[in-house]
Amino acid sequence: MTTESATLPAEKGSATETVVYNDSISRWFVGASVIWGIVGMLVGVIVALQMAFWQANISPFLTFGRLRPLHTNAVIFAFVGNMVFAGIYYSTQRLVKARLPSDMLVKAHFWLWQAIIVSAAITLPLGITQGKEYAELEWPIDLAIAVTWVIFAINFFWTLAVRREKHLYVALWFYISAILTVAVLHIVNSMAIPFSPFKSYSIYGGAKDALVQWWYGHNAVAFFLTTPVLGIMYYYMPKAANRPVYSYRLSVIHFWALIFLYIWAGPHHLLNTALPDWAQSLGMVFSVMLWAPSWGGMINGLLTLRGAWSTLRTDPVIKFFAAGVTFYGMSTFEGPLLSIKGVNALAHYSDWIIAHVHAGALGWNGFMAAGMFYWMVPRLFGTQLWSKKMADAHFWLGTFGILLYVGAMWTSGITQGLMWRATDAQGALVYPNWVETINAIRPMYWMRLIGGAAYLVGMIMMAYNLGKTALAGKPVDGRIEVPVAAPKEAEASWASLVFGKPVIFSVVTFGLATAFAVSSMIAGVAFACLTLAVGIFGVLAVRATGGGEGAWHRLLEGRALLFTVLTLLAVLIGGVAELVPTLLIKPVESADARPYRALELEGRDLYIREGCYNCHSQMVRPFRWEQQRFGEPSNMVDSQFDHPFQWGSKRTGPDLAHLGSKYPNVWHYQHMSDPRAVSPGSNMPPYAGMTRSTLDFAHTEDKLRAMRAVGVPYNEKDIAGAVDDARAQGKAIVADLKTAGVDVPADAEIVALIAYLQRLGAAAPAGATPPTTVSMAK
Amino acid sequence: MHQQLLAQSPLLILPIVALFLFATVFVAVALRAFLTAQPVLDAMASLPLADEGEARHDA
Repeated sequence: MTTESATLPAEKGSATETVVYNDSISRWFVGASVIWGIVGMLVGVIVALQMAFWQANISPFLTFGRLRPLHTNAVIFAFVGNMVFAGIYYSTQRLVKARLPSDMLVKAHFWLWQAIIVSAAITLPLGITQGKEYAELEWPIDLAIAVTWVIFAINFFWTLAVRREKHLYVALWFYISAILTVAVLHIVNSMAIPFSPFKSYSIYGGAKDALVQWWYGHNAVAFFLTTPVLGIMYYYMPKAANRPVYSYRLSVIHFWALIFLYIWAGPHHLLNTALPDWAQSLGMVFSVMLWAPSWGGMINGLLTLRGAWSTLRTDPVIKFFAAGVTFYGMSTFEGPLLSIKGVNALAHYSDWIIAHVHAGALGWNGFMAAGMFYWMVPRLFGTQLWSKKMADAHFWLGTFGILLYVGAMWTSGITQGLMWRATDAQGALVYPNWVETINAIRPMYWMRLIGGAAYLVGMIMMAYNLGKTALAGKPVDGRIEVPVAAPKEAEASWASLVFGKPVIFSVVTFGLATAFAVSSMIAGVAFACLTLAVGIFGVLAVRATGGGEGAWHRLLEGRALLFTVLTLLAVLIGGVAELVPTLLIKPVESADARPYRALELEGRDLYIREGCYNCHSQMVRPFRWEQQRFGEPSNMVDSQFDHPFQWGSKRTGPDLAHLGSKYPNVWHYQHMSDPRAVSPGSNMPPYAGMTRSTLDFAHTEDKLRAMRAVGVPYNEKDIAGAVDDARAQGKAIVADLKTAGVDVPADAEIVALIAYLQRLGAAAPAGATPPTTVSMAK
Repeated sequence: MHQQLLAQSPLLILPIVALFLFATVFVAVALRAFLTAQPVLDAMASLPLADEGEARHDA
């Protein structure tokens, strides 16, 4: 790998110097992305097989519940993450005509990120997880992620600081928003109290945790999978099409609208749940509003290819980009649609959501990555693509795979949604047995498997093609001639920016608009008129005094730091306004509400370890058909002691919010040992190993102490007596199992899990007895 | 209606204010973008193509 210095000496007397870009780092990240992409998608194919064929759960370490987080983390953070880093480092250097300042820091970024990925690949199959979707990694890895992200930010902003191009091209804005927002999301959502080297409890509980988690989860999609890739679109599509972006004007509006709106939309993951209604409505409204900037961006991307459509037939890069942006448009139409409460009632918890995310991940992220790699790798190695035909075959195989996958999951999801709610003329459920709904969609699971496998084969073809391309060439670092001492443009003063006309008029308009919102009917009309008048006057005034070279926004774009601060503010405003009111809510006190007993808490940790939340929700929505099937709608009190919350996002199995007391202990024992013994046709993995594995109570007291630190009302007596209480509760369950002919040690893991499952939805006071045992054929 | 909403919690003014802030900034940005002269925008849009001095390799 090249280690050339940042600049080469200019020829004597010349007025230019040569900047040599650090392209080694892009080569590394491309390689890592391709390798991890194949790994992540291979795990995806395995979990797809496990859904269709439960026997594929071959080991306790490789069950669906443990592998699914590995799949999602690998694809999001390893495949797309490495791709984004490659694209950002390559394009940023060229857009600002400056080399990355520190070779050491970019190497640190690369190796730390790969170490984090390896840590995830080890810890997740071991069941070391926080139990929060896309944020499963435990606290030591979370700290490493924070450090690595800071290093990434330093590399990026340091490059901006030494830039030779004053103006920040729109792609850089998207990168800035991604770097800042991901940092905020990661820090806020990962706040937890550790009680051992590999285990912690979220400081948020119940509905609060749900809101924070999906604020994070949604915006991880927005600012990790979308905005940086939009930046990549704005740089690489013009390069590939050899023409500028269709409308720079539209890109400005696209950026500000997108980052302002995206941050609000998280609660659309929690529609019809126990989250306060106002937060749900905000999530829905902002999600629908998101459709406009998203499609603005899509149209801008596609129209960039105007005049280059003929190359669509011959150039695989253009093919992938055009299809990728089209999938972006499809996903961002479907997202707002799914965020409408009525549609969400049908789609949520079903495979429709799986179809939606895979249209985005495979179509948008996967195809944009492929387009970028096919464009970039030949340039990084100073040669031509080894086989255009193979890239073409990759495109068609990938497209076939996505369509098969998404078609299968759409069909499956809508089938599920309709079957769950189907009632007969008397109002009774038509499909009361959950397994019926699983059996109905099993063919779709096989179809999904074929689609996913086809996509994976396409990825392997790409890896081979890129590998052969790299071997045919040799590493080449880009270089460009720049003036030795570029004439320094006069920098706009802070005062001229902060007190510029657009800001003044915006502040006044905003103040009047707010007054309109909170005032009475008559005063409101007056304020509305004033707002309109000031707005019109502002437009005329700004127009009269300059829309040219000295335009305010252009000055702003030249001030990277101020631009960054404003971007951060735009993101924070939505986050703060949405999170703070919910975080300060105190659930209505319930006389029956009591924290988990020690053994129940241990059982809950096992539930999280096994990733049960990947298939089971704990949130009954206020629909008649849900109440008939699962019981009373859930409320905020039900999960107030849940750190983290376990509402879930998918129902491959039924909701468990009111599972407690529904079945006797022995039913749970049989079901966990062999799900098909009591539920023929189930596709749940067996957990027979839990009847043999024993619990270690060494950390039980620490767990209660950590829970107390996050607000669960345990007292010193509870903590001191935790182990004794756990053993006593275990003995009671074991005695009950014995009456049904089951012999199991009191410290077996299955006993703790049964204690937890029997507690779900049972807000009975301490000391309540388990349900009456009924005899069962073994 | 907003009084009923605010009766739940005075903090609910936060999302309302933020919504209006968004609307205002959005309108300002949109107007700004539409009022910027086309030649200025063309120069910005051509930035990714400005490194064509690099050695080029056909894909």
